[in-house]
Amino acid sequence: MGGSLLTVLLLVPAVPSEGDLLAQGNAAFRQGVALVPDPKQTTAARKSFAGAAAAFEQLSQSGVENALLYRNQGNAYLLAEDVPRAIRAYRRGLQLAPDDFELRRALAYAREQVVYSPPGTLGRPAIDHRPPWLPHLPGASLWVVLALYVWGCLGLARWRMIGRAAWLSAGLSAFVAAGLLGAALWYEERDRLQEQATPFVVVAADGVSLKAGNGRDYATRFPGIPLNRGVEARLRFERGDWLQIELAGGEVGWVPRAAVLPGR
Amino acid sequence: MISRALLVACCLLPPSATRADDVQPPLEFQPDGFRASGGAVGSGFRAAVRVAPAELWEGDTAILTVRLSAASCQQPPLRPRLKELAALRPLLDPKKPLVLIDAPKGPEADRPDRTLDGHTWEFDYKLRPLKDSVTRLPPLPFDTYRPSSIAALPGRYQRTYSEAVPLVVKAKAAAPLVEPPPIRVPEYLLNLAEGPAVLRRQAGGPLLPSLPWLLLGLLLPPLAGVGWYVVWRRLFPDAVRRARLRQSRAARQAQAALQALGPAPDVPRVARVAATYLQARFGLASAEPTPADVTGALLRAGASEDLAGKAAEFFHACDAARFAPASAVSAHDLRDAAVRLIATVEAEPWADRF
Repeated sequence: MGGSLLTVLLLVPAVPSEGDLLAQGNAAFRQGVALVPDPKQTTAARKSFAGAAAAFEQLSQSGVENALLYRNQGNAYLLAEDVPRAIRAYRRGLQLAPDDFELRRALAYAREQVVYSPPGTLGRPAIDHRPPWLPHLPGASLWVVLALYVWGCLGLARWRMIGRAAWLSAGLSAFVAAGLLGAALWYEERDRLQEQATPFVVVAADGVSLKAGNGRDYATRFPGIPLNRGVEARLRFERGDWLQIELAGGEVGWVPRAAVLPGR
Repeated sequence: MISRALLVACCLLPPSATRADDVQPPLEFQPDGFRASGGAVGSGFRAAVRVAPAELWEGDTAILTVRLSAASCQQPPLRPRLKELAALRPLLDPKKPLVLIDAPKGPEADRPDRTLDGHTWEFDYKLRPLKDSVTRLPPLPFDTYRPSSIAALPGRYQRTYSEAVPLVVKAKAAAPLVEPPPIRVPEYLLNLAEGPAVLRRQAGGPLLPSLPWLLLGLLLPPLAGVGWYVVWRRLFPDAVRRARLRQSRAARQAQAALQALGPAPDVPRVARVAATYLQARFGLASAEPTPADVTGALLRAGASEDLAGKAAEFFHACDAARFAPASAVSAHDLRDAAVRLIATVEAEPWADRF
C-alpha cells in the first residue's frame, strides 16, 4: 500500500514553485537578450523569449498578478513576435497600475506593430483624451473624500454652535472638495465597471472577418477589410463558439471564439 | 384475402405515386447525417465522387465532384455539407492534411452545379491536400429518405456510400531556410523587472464601496454633526442661555435707553447707545467706534455686507450730525434709525448665536 503510494507520488510531476517559475522566466529572458545582438541567432533568441513568456504566463495563471510581472510578460511576448499576447499582458498590467509609464510606452509600441487594414480606422484603438499628467485616483482616495465630507458636516455643526464665519467657509470648502473628488472617483469607477461588463479581447489571427451573425454563413460586415493580429475590441456577447465584439469605433460584429484572446 | 392482395399491390407501386408535398421525413430515427447529405427524398439513390486532377502537388487545389442520382425522386438533394460528414472529419480537423473549401455562399448556394437528366445532380467543391500523406478520399456516406408507397405507413431512411477515391499528392521541395530579420526593438523592451515585487499579488478592487456602505457613509457624518450640536446644547446649556439672555437684555436696554432720550435726543447719546448695544452683543472693542470698526465687527460675526454697510452708514450719519451742524439729518431721525438698526440685527438668524 505504502509502496504504491510512493510510486504514484514519484510519477506525479512536481509543480514548480512561483520562485522557480520566475527564475526560469528570468533566465530565459536574459538568454534571449544575450542573443539579440547576433543576427544569426534571431530564431534562438525568439525561442528564448517565447520560453520566458510561457514561464511568466504560468506564473500569472497561478495567481501572481502585478504590473511588473505583466510588463516582463508583455516584453517577452513582444520579443517572441507574439503581438496579441503582448498587448493583452500590457493591458492586464495597466488595469492594475493605470499610471505605469513603462507599460503605457510598451503598449504604444506594441500597437504600432499591428497591421491595420486600410482604408479607414477600423480596429484602431481609440485615442485616449486623458492628459498624461493627470493621474488615476488610488483606492485610498475614498478615505480622503470621506474625511472631507465629515469635516464639512462637523464644520457646519460648529458654525451653528458658535456662529464664526470661518467655520462656515471651512465647512463649505470641505464639501466642495469632497464633491469634486467624489465625482472624479465615480467617473473612474464607471470606467472600471464598464471594463468589467465588456472585457477587452485581442484578435489573435490575421485576416479575421467581422461577421453579421454567429456563423460563417453570415455576411461579412466589412468586406475586404479583415482584422489582423493585435486588433483590440470589447466583448459584448458569447454564443457557442462565436463572440460578438465591438471595435473602438463602435463597429459590432461576430468572430470565432478561437480567433481572439480573452482579456481575462 | 382481398385486403392482403391490396397491400401487396400498394407495396409494389413505385414511390413516385405518393404526392411530393405529402413527404415530410420524420424526425424519429432520422440519421445525424441526413441534413448534411442534402435531405433528398426518393428511392434508388446512388452516390459517386471524383477528384480532378487526381494527381497534384501539396497545397494545390483540385475539384471534388459529388454526383447523386435517384431512380425516382420526390425531393431533390440540396448541396451536401461535406464538412459535417463523419467520414471526412478526421481529415478536415484543424492541423489535418486536407482543406475543403465549400462553394461560394449565396441564395443559389444550395442548388446543384449541374442537373444532368432530372434524376442526377452534381455538386462541385474545392479540395486542397496539404500533405503528401493524403493517399485517398474515404467512402462518403449519404443518407436519404424513402417514403412508403402507402401514405399511412412510414417510410425509411437509407444510406448509400460512394467509392473511395485514390489521390496522389506530391511533396513540394522544402523551401530554403531564410534567417529571420534581426531583432530591433527599443532598449527599454529588453529591460527585465526583478526582485520580490514581481511575485506580489496586486489587487485591483473597486474604488467605491457597495451601495449600502455608500449610503451609510453619506448619512452618518450629517447625523454625527447634528448629534454633536444636540449634545453641545445639553452639555453647555449655560452658553446657550447666556447667549439668549445677552441678546434680549442688550436689545431691551438699548431700546429703553433710546426711548428715554425724549422727543429731542442728543446725537452723541444716540450714537453711544447704539455702540453700547453692539459692544454687548458682538464684543465691539471701542465704546466710540468708527464706521469701519462697526463694519468689521459685524462682518466677522457673520452679518451680510448690506447690513454691515447700513450700520456703518448710521454711525457715519451720527458723526456728520455731531461735527457738521448743517447736516440735514436730525437727532430724531437718528434715534429712529438706531431703533430700526437694532431691530434688524436682532431679526438676523446668525445673531442668535451671540
